[in-house]
Amino acid sequence: MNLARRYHRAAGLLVVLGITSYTTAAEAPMFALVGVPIVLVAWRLTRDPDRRPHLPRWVVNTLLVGAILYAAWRGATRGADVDGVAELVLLLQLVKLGDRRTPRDDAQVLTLAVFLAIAAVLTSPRLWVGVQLLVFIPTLIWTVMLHQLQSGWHAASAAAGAAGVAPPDDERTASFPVHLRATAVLSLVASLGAAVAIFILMPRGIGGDFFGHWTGQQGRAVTGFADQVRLGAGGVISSSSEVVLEARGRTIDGVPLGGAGAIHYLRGAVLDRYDRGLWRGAGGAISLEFDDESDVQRVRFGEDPAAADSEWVMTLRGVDRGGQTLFLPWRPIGIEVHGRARVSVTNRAARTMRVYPPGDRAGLPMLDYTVRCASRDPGGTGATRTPGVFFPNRRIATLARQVVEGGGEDPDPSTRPVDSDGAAARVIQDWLRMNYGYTLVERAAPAGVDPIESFLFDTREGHCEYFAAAMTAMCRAVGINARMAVGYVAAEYNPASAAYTVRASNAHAWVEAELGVGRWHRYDPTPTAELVRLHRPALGVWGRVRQWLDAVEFLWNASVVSFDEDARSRLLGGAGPAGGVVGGVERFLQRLRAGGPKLVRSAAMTGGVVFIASAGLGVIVVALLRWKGSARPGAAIAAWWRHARFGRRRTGRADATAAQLRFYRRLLRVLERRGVPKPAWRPPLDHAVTLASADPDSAATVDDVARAYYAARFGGRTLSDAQVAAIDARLAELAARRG
Amino acid sequence: MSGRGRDDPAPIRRYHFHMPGVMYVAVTLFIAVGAINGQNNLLFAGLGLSIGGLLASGVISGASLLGVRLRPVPVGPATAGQAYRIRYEITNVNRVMPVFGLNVEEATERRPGLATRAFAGTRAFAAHVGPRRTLVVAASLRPMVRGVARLPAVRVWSTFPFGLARKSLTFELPRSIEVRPADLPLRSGLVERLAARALAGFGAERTPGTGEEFFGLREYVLGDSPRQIAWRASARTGALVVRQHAMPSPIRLWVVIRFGAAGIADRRLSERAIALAASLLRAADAQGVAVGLAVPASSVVIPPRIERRQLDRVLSVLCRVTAPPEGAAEGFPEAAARASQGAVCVAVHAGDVDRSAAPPHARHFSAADPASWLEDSADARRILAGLDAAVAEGAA
Repeated sequence: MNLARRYHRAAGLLVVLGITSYTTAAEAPMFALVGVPIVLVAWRLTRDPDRRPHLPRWVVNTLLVGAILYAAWRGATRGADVDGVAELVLLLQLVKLGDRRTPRDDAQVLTLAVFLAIAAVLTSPRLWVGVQLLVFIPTLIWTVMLHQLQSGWHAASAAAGAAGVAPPDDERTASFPVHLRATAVLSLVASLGAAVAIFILMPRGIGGDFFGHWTGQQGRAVTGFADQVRLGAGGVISSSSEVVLEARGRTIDGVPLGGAGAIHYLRGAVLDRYDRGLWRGAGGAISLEFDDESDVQRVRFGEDPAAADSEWVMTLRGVDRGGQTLFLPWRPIGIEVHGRARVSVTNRAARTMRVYPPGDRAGLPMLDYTVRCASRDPGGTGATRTPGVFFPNRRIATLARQVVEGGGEDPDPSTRPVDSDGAAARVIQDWLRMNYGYTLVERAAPAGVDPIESFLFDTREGHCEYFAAAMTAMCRAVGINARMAVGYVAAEYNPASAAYTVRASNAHAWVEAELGVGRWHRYDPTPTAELVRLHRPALGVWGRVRQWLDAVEFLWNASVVSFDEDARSRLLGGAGPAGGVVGGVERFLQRLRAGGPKLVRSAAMTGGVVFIASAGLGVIVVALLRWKGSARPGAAIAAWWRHARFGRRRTGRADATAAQLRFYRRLLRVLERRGVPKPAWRPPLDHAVTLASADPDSAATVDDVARAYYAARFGGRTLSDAQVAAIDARLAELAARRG
Repeated sequence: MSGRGRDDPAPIRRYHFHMPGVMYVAVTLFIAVGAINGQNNLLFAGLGLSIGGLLASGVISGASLLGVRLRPVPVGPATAGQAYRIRYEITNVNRVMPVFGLNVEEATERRPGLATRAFAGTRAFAAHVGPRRTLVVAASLRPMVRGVARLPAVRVWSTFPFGLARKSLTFELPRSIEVRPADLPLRSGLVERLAARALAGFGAERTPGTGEEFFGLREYVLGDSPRQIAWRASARTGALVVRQHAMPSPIRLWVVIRFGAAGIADRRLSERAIALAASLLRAADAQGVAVGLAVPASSVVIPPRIERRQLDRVLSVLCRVTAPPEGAAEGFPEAAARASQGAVCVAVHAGDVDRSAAPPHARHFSAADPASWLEDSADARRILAGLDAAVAEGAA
């Protein structure tokens, strides 16, 4: 493939990657659907650099003016932002595709592709943007290198054209692509090395938002969760598979909690106020509990920390400026939020809380927090119940009493012992599970009819919100204090990350009933089979792939997107004297000092042995490569493969042929030195014909040597030593003659 | 040539920042501001990448250019109006690093002469020179004005790998290349008709040959024709001797250039006259005519001779001829007049024909009247117009 075609393909790929990166980041697939086909068509039409069609100047100028006017209109109506600039860049690029006359135009197209990639980074740090950029970067390096060669060639041709003479020959040797690729890899490795170093060393947290918010949200909260539920309005129902958080649990003894099939409930909010179909929390003043100076925010709920029997480490995907609910397993005793986030307890009794980014940040890409939980009931006033609990709907109250009575429990709280509240609640839970159907289809209640009443008496089917709301109402109707809890069920255990992956579609509602003051127990009236079916992780190959992708995304977010000053300090050893790279070096030096000359001697001996072994291995490898008659490892491996596959006899012949054919490589070198190199694509005999007029001396030799080469290489003939010597002599004579 | 010799001067290394580099730095600063302002880790990575790219570019291009050696391949003179190739031998003495994207151009003086200007815009390009490899590249050009191009140095530069900076090596290799006068297409049969006016075989050369004039006697050697034996002389001397004939005298052509007042005033006409003279000399030489040149205003007198390098000599002189100051004497030199006996004499006048400036038997042509000597074709007229335009442009 010639240089122009190589460049054309690489540049086309780069432009497409720029567009898809941005459209992925901006979640605007329409731009990709329109832009990519235009690019592909334009690239197809302009693949021949010598006969490249282009739009007339006036059309290009008109389109450019149109694009600028559109950008101005967009800026005036929606305000200037990254998306506006990116759209303008995209339009300019599409227009420019029709106006590629010179390498300068090509450079402009490539520059616009880079601008689109930068816009993608400014818009979103998502994994898929990162993946595309990881492809974009080597493509960019490769394309720019080819562009330099292409533009140099173009300039030389243009200079010749201006003089009215033919352009110089575009002759390159067979080693050109190999060397070019090696240089590209070297450039990429050097650039990435510097990038990693600067990424790690650059201090974070300085100068944030100094120029205002002009980048996209770095901490976009992802949730299917809502902290209030209006029955019939959708509520927590979400089919999005986007990951909300990861949760890793273990007992206080370190035994992992979780596994395939085990389900855990993560509470986000508690809804205990009901008014005509709307469930909401108690609300009240938000109490912010944080310490600006500390990197860890701690919240305690007054229980003895020794009561904790499990610990969960949660990683929340993104916290935006409006704050994010913390999801906690029941019953949290103490919480530690890592990083400079601000924690707010929204309901101390219900132990719910929210978290906010620090004042100088628009958002947090990730947030880690640790929850210590107790599963046993707290001691105290278990023998009494909260008085005055009722539900004002007469029909529901009657039904609840009938159900409890039918289950063999006393529906009257004044005569029923507190210890029987749990059994009564369970009767209601089981009755709902047995007698009502599950559906995700929303059916609005008729005007003037309570949605819970409608569910219980008319529709008789609904989703988790209806089941939870109905059970809460029925429990209250029989004097059991109950509330609706909303949050997520952690049901998808990911062995790749050893954590539960919680998605937006795992949002759920259930019930907490108070079995004695302060002793809240969880009940889930949603039919178990439906619950399992809905929250069961995807099975099969796709399920595994998705788990791996989630693990990769987690890794991406944890190591790249949320890399902050704390992570940097930990890595470099700023967090403590023994931590990070610096700590490691310090420890090594301490050991060295403590060990004295003996340790140094020992280290030198070990190093020497390792060095000698490595050098010896290298010498053996080089010797083997030479012995196999090829400097290329690939050829040597191929020779060994032939040896193993076909045995010694055939390998011996192949080696003999390879040894004989060395003269061909020598011929190529001589031609290169004479300034008439053979292009890789041209057969040697054709090259001899080409040289006939320009370099007759070479032509005759090339012709003879090529015929001998063909005979030995393809004709199965063995050249005699005299023949090889004669060829060598001719090549030496040709090399000695100046061109 | 495999490398720079001990006495060769080291090339001058330069880094030139140009527009793409400035843009790159601006984008890098923008990314830095964006990264710090938004605390965006991908932008921090992007910043690292762009700084890394800058470093990689400097290291790769610097290291690879360190091993570049250059030698201009000796080439012959150029001819005005004709394509010309100037070749360079590039050697990469580096053992590891290949070199890519090398542009080779002549570094001319700040105000180059007319002939040198054609070399100023030339460019040869080497896409790749492998480690310890030598490659010959060529730059093509078409000089339009005769003269001597003075080329003090050759500059090799590259923007590889990323085009951020232009790195150059300047090799001081002072050379001069003759750009000989244009070869104008002459009217068909013009030279043949001129030659027919000469007295063929007038006089004889002082060398033995195949003419009719007697040259001398020599001893018989085996293989001589018996018909050549001079029997009387053999009888007289007692040994066999043979007759030798003299080489016949070739047709000789004198070309005399006379600038006159018009030629001095109008450089276009004087250049035409020189190109016409050169064209006549070339055409005559191609037909085996001994050519000679006289430019009285420049005191140039080169008698006609049959010699391998005679044409080179007269064309080389024509490269350097300049129009004389006003009032310079342009009479036909006395010695030339004597030598022109039996020779064809052509007087080329830049302006009007002045018959007193050449021997009476001379044939006269005027540069101002191309119809009398230029081939009647569109191509010929285009070439002449190109020459005129180049001279006018150069004079401007």
